[in-house]
Amino acid sequence: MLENILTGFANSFIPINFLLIIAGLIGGIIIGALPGLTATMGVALMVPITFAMNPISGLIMLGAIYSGAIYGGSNSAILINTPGTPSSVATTFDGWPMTKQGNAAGALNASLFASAFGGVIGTLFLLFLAAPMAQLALKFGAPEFFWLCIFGLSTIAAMVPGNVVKGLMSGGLGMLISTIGLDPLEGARRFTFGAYSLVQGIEVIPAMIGLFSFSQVIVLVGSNNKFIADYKAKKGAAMLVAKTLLKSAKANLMRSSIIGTFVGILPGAGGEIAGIISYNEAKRWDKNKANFGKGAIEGVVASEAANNATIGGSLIPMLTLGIPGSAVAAVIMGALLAHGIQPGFKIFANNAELAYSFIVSLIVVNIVMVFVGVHLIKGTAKVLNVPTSYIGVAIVALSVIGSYTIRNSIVDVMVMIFFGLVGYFGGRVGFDTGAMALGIILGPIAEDNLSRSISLAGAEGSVFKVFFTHPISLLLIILTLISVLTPLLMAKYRAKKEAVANDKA
Amino acid sequence: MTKRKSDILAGLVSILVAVAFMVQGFKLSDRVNAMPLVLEIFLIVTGIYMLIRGFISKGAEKGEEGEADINWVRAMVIVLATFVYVAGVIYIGFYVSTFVYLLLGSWYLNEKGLTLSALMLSLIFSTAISGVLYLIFTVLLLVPTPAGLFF
Amino acid sequence: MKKNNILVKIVGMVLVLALTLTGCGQKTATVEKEKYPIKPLNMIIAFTAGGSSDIQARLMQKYWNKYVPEQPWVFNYTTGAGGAIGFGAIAKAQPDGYTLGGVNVPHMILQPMAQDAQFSIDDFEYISQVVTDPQVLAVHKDSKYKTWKEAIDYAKANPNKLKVGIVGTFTGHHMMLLDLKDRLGIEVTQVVYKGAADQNAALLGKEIDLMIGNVNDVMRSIENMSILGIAAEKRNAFLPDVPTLKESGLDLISDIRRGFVVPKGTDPEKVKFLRDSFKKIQEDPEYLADMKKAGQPTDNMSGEEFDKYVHAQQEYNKKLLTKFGLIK
Repeated sequence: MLENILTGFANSFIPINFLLIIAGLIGGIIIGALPGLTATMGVALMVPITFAMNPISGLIMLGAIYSGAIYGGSNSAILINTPGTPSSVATTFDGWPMTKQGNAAGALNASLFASAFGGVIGTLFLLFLAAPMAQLALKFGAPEFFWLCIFGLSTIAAMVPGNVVKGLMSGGLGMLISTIGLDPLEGARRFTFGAYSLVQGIEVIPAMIGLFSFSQVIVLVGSNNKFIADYKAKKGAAMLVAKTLLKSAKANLMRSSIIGTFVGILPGAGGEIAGIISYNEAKRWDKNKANFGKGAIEGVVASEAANNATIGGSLIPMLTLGIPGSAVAAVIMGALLAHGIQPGFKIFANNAELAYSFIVSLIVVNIVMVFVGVHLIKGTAKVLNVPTSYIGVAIVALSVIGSYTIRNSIVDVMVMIFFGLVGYFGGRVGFDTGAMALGIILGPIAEDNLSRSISLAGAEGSVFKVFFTHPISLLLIILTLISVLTPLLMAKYRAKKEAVANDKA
Repeated sequence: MTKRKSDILAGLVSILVAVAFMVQGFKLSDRVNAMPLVLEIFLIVTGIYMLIRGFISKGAEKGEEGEADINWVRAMVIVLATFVYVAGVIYIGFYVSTFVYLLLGSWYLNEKGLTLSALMLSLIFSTAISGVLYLIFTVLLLVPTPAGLFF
Repeated sequence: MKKNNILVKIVGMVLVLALTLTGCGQKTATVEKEKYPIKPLNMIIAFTAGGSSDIQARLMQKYWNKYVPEQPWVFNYTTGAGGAIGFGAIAKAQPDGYTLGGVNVPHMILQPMAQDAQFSIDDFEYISQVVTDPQVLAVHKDSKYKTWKEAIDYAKANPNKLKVGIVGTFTGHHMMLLDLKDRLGIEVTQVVYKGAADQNAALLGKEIDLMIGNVNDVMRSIENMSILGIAAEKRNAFLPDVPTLKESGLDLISDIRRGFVVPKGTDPEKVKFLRDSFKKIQEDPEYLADMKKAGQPTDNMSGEEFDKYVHAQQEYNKKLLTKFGLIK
């Protein structure tokens, strides 16, 4: 194995492959940063090009694009409050406030370092623990997925303290809207309100571009501010952030990366869910909970470390079992198959050089990403120096084309505009766009797995057995209860403490 | 907006949406309509709670953030312009509409007023952005863009 | 009077001019055949980029470029509603020969029948069938069922206890399950998955006892599965040891087919050109080798035959759905 790993490193540094890594990263970061161009699309578009390449070079390039795109999504999340890929939803929660406070450079660098760190941890799991992790992925059935979604939704309670009811309502509205289209169980048309075009359902990405990005443009344009935020390039910003992270965010980085890897191995749960769960966990374990949502660097770190860690995670079941853990992993598997390489545990024996070179190259990719990223950040942050009058309309143009290209549907563009208005006016009556996005993302997965669990319960003859006896389900239920109850208990505890303090005074 | 007003509005919206979905769901089978129905009931109950909270509260409390000075005219002009833009994308084509939208939009919004020099700046800006979009989407990625009469 | 004369002259001249012009136009149209193709062709894929349909089309594109080097394909992924959105987009496209797309059978038959999809199978000119991917019955490699009959016997003795996984409703898998229930008189629990990846994971995780899958999909996780039977006329080259259902006494043929179509009303000359080009591609040994490598079971059928096949399948599916009360 050591020999294979060394060969892998050697392969990554062959000039042509190294060049492909850099090109893939830059291309990936740009694709990721543009809202609507997702990691899946970026990788899929490049697959035909790999047909003409040696498979190792091809895979190395696809891995670089994948990593770059997942990281790149954070750039637009931080700079214009628009997750470039769905994976960066949770990055907006604190990244955007940091930008508004004039600390865009801090957020951008934190996201870069965290992404690279998460990417390396995910890859190490892939390299050394692929077999047990793959078995774990298989233990995750429909009821486990259902509880995972409920756990994800429970973060809403913590997300909008002081406004929990409206937060839950926003999540409920999001989930309800996500049921438009064909239902997962019988394939029946639902809630199309007479418009056949709605049968394709509400696609997550246009809805999110609308909620975050178009609504933000309306705010910006109406704000009379000349610029989005103050931004002056500072020398040594990267070093400063690196030092801060080393000093105070080690536990956060590690925890988020591990969460990301675990979520990554599950087919059907990707970077967005990993980011949201890690964000919530980071908040739970942090001493200064109140800072979250107001520009806490820890929030950015948690979300970004987790979503890049999903990359290694999602490749684990793909390589070992032929079951891709994410849409991008599915595309990469398609590329493997087109080269005549069958995934499965045998791949490590029959195609050892290819498998290990690909995995090891991901470590190289993540290290190179830091150097590429530090330079790109200097350029991308300049967006903030462009007056809002220009940025605003440019974001709208990007949002329109981004919503369209997801599946070449003009309906999606209208959905984007609609959600922009929902986000803007909803925000004014206290609805929370983050909670609504969460509902839209998790709603379909929750329902799909709920109805499947009910089918299974029918065969087992017991609802209780299916929902409440599997160990992973129980763990998730306990976590959900903790997550819902801690904010309540904390509030009580604090009130009591204050009362005591008042008594003394 | 006061907290009271925003509570009442939020409650109303949530109830309206839930009822609209409920009416649409009448003809669906029970299992297909199960989760939507649960959500609808949840939204109606919380909506009623919001209405009650809105009506009994004093109403003086200041509500959500961002109340300050919103320039409604600018905001609404851009929203309307975007509607026209999307219509243009459908019937005229993406690149032409984008160019026009960027040109007029940025010119209208710029702070120096509708001067000729600002128009020139907007012209450069919209040409550059449309060009970059064309380069990325059509030349490099070969991704189809909506094409109407033109491109 | 003079004025009138001028008017008459002008009208006369215009008339003559118009006649010559239209005459000329007709003449050029009949004599000189319209050149085709003179611009890139729009290829609509109704499933996500990187999926089986896409990989197949991309491989095909390689050979299209070989035989028709003048103009490439531009891929247009119009996804949603199990392919119905993309199929509808092909049907609604300009029949100018510059839009073609991939379709799946029986999805394209079932969607208009049961889900009010906005197209019908008569909205297309059929270019060629390229793939027949038969359905198989698969279990976990540690399963107690060694033959499909054992599983069916269990289902007969224990109604609704056997958990059978399928991908989607109103799909090839769904039809095969209905057909099995119909012929064997069994009641099983139908567990619907979103895609082949989720379904494979569920079988490997033993959430379901038996699954209906396709050759292309089960091949990816073949190390951990055993395939009990294949619903085809003949054994499959990818799974030579797996008996057909027919061999073991159940005459059930069920598969998913992929092909290419253009909108109805496309110029017959262009349709012929496309049909000929697709035929040439599918006779290329390198194409066949590439397809084999990618795990795609090739099955070339001419446009005319494909058209007939699709229409014949409509009857079969209609009967089955009516029997189970899924359509009126």
